[in-house]
Amino acid sequence: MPTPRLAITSARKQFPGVLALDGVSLTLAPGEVLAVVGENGAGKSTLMKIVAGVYTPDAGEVLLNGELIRFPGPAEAIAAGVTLIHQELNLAENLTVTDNLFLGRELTRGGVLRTLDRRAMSERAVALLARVGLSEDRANVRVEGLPPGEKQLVEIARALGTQVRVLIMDEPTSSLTQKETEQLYKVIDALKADDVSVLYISHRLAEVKRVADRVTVLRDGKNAGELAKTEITHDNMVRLMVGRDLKQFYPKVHRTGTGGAAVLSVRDVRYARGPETPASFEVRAGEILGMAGLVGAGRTELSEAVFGVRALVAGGLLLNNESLRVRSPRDAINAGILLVPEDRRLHGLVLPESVGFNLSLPNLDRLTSLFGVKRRGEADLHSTWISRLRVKTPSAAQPVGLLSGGNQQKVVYGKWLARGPKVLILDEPTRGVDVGAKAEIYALIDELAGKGVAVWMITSDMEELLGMSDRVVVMHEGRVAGELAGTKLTEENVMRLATGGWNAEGEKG
Amino acid sequence: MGATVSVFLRISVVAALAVVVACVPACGKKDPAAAGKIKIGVVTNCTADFWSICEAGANKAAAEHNVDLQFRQPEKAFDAKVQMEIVEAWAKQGLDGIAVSVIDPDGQTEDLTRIGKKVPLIAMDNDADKTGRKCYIGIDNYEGGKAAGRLVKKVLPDGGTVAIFIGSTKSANGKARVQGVLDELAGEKDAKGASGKHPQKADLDVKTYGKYHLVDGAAKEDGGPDNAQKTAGAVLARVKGMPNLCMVGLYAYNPPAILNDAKAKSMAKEIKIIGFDEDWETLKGIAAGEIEATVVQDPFAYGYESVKALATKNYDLKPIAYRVVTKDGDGTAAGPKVADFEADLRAKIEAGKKK
Amino acid sequence: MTRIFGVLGLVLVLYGALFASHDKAGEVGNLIDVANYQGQYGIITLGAALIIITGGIDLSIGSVVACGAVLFGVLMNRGVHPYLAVPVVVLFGACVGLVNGLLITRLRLQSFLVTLCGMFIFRGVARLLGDTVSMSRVAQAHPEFDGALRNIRYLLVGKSPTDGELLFPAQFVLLLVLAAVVGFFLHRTAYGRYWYAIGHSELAAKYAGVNVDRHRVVVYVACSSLAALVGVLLFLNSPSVQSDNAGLGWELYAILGAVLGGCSLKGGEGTAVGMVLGAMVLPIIESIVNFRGDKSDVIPAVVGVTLLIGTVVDELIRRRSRVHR
Repeated sequence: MPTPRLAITSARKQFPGVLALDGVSLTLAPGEVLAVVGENGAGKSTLMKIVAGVYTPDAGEVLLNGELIRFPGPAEAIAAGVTLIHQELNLAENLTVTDNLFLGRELTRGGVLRTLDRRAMSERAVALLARVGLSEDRANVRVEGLPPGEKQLVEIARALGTQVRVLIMDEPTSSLTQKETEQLYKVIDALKADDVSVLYISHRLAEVKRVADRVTVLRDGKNAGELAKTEITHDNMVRLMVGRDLKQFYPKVHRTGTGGAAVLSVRDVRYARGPETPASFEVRAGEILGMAGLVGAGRTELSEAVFGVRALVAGGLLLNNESLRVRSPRDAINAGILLVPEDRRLHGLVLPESVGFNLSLPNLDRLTSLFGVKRRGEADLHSTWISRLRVKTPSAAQPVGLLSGGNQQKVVYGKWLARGPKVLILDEPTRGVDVGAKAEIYALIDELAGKGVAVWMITSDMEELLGMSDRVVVMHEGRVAGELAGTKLTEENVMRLATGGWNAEGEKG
Repeated sequence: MGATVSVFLRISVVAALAVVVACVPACGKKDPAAAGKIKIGVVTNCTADFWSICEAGANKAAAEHNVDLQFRQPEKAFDAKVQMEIVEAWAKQGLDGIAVSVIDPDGQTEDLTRIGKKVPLIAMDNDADKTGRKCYIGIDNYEGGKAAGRLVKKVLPDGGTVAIFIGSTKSANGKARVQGVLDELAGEKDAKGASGKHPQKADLDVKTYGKYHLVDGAAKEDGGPDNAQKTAGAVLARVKGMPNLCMVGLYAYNPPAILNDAKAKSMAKEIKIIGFDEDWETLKGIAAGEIEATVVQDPFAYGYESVKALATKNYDLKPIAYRVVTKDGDGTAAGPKVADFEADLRAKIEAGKKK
Repeated sequence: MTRIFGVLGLVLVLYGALFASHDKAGEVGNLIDVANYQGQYGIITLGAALIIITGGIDLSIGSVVACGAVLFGVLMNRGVHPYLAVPVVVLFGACVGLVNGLLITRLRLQSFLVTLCGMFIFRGVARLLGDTVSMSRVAQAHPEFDGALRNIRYLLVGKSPTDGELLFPAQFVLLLVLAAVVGFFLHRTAYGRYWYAIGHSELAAKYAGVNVDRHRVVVYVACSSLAALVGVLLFLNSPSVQSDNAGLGWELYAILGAVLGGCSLKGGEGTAVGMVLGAMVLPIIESIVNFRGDKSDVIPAVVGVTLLIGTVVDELIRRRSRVHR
């Protein structure tokens, strides 16, 4: 066997109170794409940060091209050809693409003044952009004006500019559209052809299947197993990640189907600064209505309009066949329409505050007496929902931002369930949530629907959509492109509607 | 982790503060010989060169009479509240005498009266006669204003256009000085002036006192030292090109402010400037022939006499006379030559410097 | 909690320095004096801190104090009875806060900009209302008000009705009462929870059904009302009030007190106890400087250094407790 590009042996890293890595080993061959998967908290991020020089391991060795290395910081790692592309991109939004490509290592004409050699930079920039499939007219665009997918590609181009040998990508597709993701795959293929090794971290197992040559699974800071190209299947990965078989990953034990009465009817709704075409559909008691569509199809915006965040400019809502006016989230909440937003860190939670603070926040109106907030009632609410949702937290006083993604998401559910929802709007209900917590959340959603709650689930995760929905509404460019249920509910049909393949009438009839 | 943070912070905060607090006493340390000395405080109404000269006089008297002197120039100008905080603190410290340049005689009367019962109190520069103060040390501001008025008449014997600048038209000294100038120009007591337009410039509102037209019909409040030049500039721009112009600056910083802006507008030759007080720049301007004259009080004597009176408990004093400083002098003690006056002032300040 | 210890340590160290500065500095008379100024600064600190907790800033406090003080004097000069003038002035403050709050929430303007403009505007309004006002001028115009005015002064400032001697720190008592009210709202009611939530994450609060705009307006109204009330106190406590420099720069003292007391300028943090302690710092420093006979020139430097330490500590805490991941 030739010398691996990167080899890690028995890496160990202890943080106060947490053993993040407990003897993890992996190897990465030149030109290979190795996917590292595992639940949140399994140690993926820590491992990547050790490779990229952000952390130093307490024990174990990191070998680059057979040489023992220990980077004092990320700058040295980059110099050695190891670059980490973070989940949250690290681009200066206010600068142009070219400026970003050379940030911190600008080409200069030398001398004391270090005047910038703009021509040389723009020539090199065009070459780098071409390698990631971006056209040269992007070179002078400010980064903030680019779509997320192109930002990702700019990051990769920047890494290429540093003669990268090992590229670490942390959840690179979390904010990309299908098309952008495809473009990313192409770039990864090109990188492989150039002998660059890629460490690929993702929660999206379908993607891993597509892109990886090999998979290393981590669990609780240890190696849980490895899968060769031919062994990479969804079930295999989940089994290794969770350490057990997931019998009912997408449960349908409590629900009875789509036969319930319409709870929420959205009638010809248009919202401020939205598309011209009105949208109509209904969510029925006891069902999970999936809503599919490409990024930018207007699903999130529609849910925000129903929840009162965006102003309605036409159409209306019926709740149990009675007209409902929603002018603010408060109105929606009082009517029993609750939203678990797409971006829980921005919209769903007050991150620096405690678990208890967040659980209480929308329920304070019910917990208040003349003498202020009832402490007893509040404590009961906290303990009830922490235990019922099995939120893993030391106490209700723990800042919610310190919990894992899955547990954060459970807190968002908890604050709404305490109110008893009639309609629960879920926007990307399991984004950034690890597999174990996902299963728990699916079970919870199923149970709620079984109790008669009308669930409206917006998701871009095809497996989730097909696995959980009783019925699916597909959006395309702001309008309802069609509705699918039963045998017609297939991935192919969803994608066809989502990309504008059929018109709505054709499918509905 | 919370516990370590809290310990770390407590230590760092207390340590950092200990350093600061240790510094503050260090710069305020007084010599041990202060024990047994008479303790006297002098507080002014703002920070200015004028008061630094006063401080020199006070220091001289302090040295002569074995006084432990505290001289305060409040950085917040003309704030009666800040001044009273200082005076109250001194009263609590048990000082043996306090001199105050009273900012607002009306408002401060109650508090000064109460304090005057505990501590000998004198008013300087600006009087507060209902407080039971032991005496007033200062010039008669109305007479000083009249002197400035006479200087205007001297430089513009055939009449002309006059603008008056001052920091405050409401303070006792400000009111008295302005009225002194106007009465002298009009040639009558409590002159009110006649409102109208300027005869040569129809868009200029004036009040006419005798042969003199007062720009905008009132003394211009300058908005303090920082804005004095801007205020002067606005008036100069409007009167540019007119004959027989005289600018009168009644607070110490006004004459240099007027001169500076006139130079910037190349008007220094077109206008006459009459000043008040002995700002160094004013004296320089007189020596250069750019400022006609200045009416000086005697801040050195204010400081010297105040401390001396409190130290000796002799409050029976003659009022301090104003003088008129010109380039060549008039040969009398009340009209010194600018060169002699400046040399004398510098010598006094040198002598009064704290060792 | 941690932050309380920091500022508590600061206050104790400063009191120690005060006692050491002069043998008479520790006498009851002086401590009452200091406490009274602490009360005065403390009340505006409460208002500033509430706004800072919700992630805003108010730079118009000093000008509103001046407006309140001058308005109080002018109203009485025009024949409004003192007992009526006090609530009128506070109501005026509430209106100022309402305007600030509405501009910030309805037009989505930055609070810094709106209140910076307010700083100039209300300074101008104060100067237009009148130049110098004082109890003695009111008493000259309306001798019949003198008794009522002296009673109010006794109640709110603690100065003797007969000769103006400071008898007890009424302003500090008033601060404690108001701080208790603020503390109740902040720590015991839903309002406080909403304010913290808005300060940390306006969007999350909005999505949780909090009427963010209304609560923002409420804190601006509270802040400006308190500032106007302090204007009344300033009038009562001062020999005279000049519209052009009364309360000049006090918004910064208020912000200083709030930050020292544990409020983060980033919003979402702060306690009522901390605010009181934070506001106690500056008057002690001023008293030390007065007693030491230092030149006033050192006061700004000392204020600056203290604020700097507060900021450094704020930053350290933020770094230590920053949410990882």
